[in-house]
Amino acid sequence: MSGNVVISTKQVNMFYSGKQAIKDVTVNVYENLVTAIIGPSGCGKSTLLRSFNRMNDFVEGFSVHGDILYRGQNINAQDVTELRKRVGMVFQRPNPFPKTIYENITWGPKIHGRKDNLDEVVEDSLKRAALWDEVKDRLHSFAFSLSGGQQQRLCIARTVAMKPDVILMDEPCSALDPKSTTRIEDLINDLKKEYTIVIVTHNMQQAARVSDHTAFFYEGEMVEFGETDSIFTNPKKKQTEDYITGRFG
Amino acid sequence: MFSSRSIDKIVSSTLFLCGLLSILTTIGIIFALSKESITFFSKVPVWEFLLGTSWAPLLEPKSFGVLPLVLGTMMVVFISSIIAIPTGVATAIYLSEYASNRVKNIIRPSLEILAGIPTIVYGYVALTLITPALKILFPEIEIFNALSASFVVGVMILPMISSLCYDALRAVPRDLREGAYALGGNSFDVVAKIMVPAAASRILAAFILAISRAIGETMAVTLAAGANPQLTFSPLKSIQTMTSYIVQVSLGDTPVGGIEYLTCFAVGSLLFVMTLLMNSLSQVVLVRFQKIK
Ligand SMILES: Nc1ncnc2c1ncn2[C@@H]1O[C@H](COP(=O)(O)OP(=O)(O)O)[C@@H](O)[C@H]1O
Ligand SMILES: [Mg+2]
Repeated sequence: MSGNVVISTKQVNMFYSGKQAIKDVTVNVYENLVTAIIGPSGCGKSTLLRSFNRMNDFVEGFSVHGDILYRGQNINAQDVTELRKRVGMVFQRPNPFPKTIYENITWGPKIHGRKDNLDEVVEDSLKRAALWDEVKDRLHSFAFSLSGGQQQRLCIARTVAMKPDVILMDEPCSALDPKSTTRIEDLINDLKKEYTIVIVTHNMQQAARVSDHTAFFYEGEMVEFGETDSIFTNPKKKQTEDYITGRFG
Repeated sequence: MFSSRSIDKIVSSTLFLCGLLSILTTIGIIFALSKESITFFSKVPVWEFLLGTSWAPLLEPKSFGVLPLVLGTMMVVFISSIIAIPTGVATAIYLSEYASNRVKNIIRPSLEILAGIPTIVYGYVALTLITPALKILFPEIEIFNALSASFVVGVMILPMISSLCYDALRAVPRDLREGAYALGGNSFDVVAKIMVPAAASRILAAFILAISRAIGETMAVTLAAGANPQLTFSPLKSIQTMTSYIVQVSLGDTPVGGIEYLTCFAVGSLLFVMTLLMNSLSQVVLVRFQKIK
């Protein structure tokens, strides 16, 4: 495993009101690759992912012990809004704002006072999210008029409009039909040329299809981490093998 | 003993009776109000009541122009809303996005205490504390005046506005709020540009409820604003509101069935119609809002 490390954790532990959710996890996320986090429900995938852009700051009673670094710098030492500009997030359920398609995309650039041409930002972001052709004639209609899969691509476009470095995705296809899922998976393959992606999924085929690296979690611990091919064809731990062959979880 | 089906039936018919009771009560109120009002309007023309600028049903010569009472009510509603709406919304925003849990645990119970104080106490506070304090600023202020009454009515409706607006903000889906923060928004961006617009219809409903409460508020204004129906725009003067007129007549020894007694019902009907109109207006606004969203 080589390349530039974008996000890394060093023996981090995370707790919800004293209850441990992440145990002693050390992991690296590499530049321009897709890292998948897999494991059974409740094993701490979302907890770890949401700590990368400090979304857990909103959870009362949550605490992290140990360092999480973004580009070598402790994320707690950075301005949190700057961090979130660089490390964007796509959620499990599509969550467009109750505004127009156009406004959904320009919201982020606007609040950060960016001076670039907003029409261009909208077009460029929608093209990158493979949504442009479907919505170019109705940019000013309401975002909720889109289908679920389109809404999720709009949320990706909204994140891309921030010109991020990393995109975090928490089960981005779990609320979508198979056809929309395929579109998003294709999109992830395109996006990784320019962005570093971390994706949480409970769908192992998806992890195998889209990711370069896979981290397998079980009960808050990282059981195994490695190249996706070797995790799926030649797992080193019994637990990993049991999980990917469908014996539990 | 009872099958779950028959229990279901008992519960649903009990609930139906409760619903029926509230409908019957409303019909009863409308009936009582209109019966006496019709008698009143057979003696005093409607236009004289609605457009007359002098209200003196208890004095000779009698006059029945309700405008001074309407204006007095509106003045109290207007000033108290100007005080309470911005403060209430700001409090809700602060509680929702900025306050730590410890601060929340102080502010929210305090607001509940404010809401629980009997309104007569507010009237007393207005009379004995606020008016003297205002006299330092405005030496010409009268002992009974609209300003101090409006001030305490504002404080009275503040908890309602802040807690309803807080609930409205909390009801915004968590996904939406987190989505906005995930784009690097600060608390102000998120609350002002995403959450308040998303909660707008419920926030508006909170304002309307609070204004209705201010229109209907009785004891504090009776005590603090006086009983001097006059057509004035000065909040430093003594006025009378529609509700405090009703109190005045109800507490006096007005003979049942006389014209003085009937005025109460005419004023009550007008109050009823005003609230009804406002609620209908709010419905229209809400529906429109939802369409835009
Ligand atoms: N907001 C929260 N408060 C308390 N416990 C939580 C919270 N979120 C998650 N947990 C707990 O932390 C553990 C890991 O949850 P999560 O990271 O959501 O798992 P996953 O995404 O892998 O399904 C679970 O036991 C869950 O119950
Ligand atoms: Mg999860």
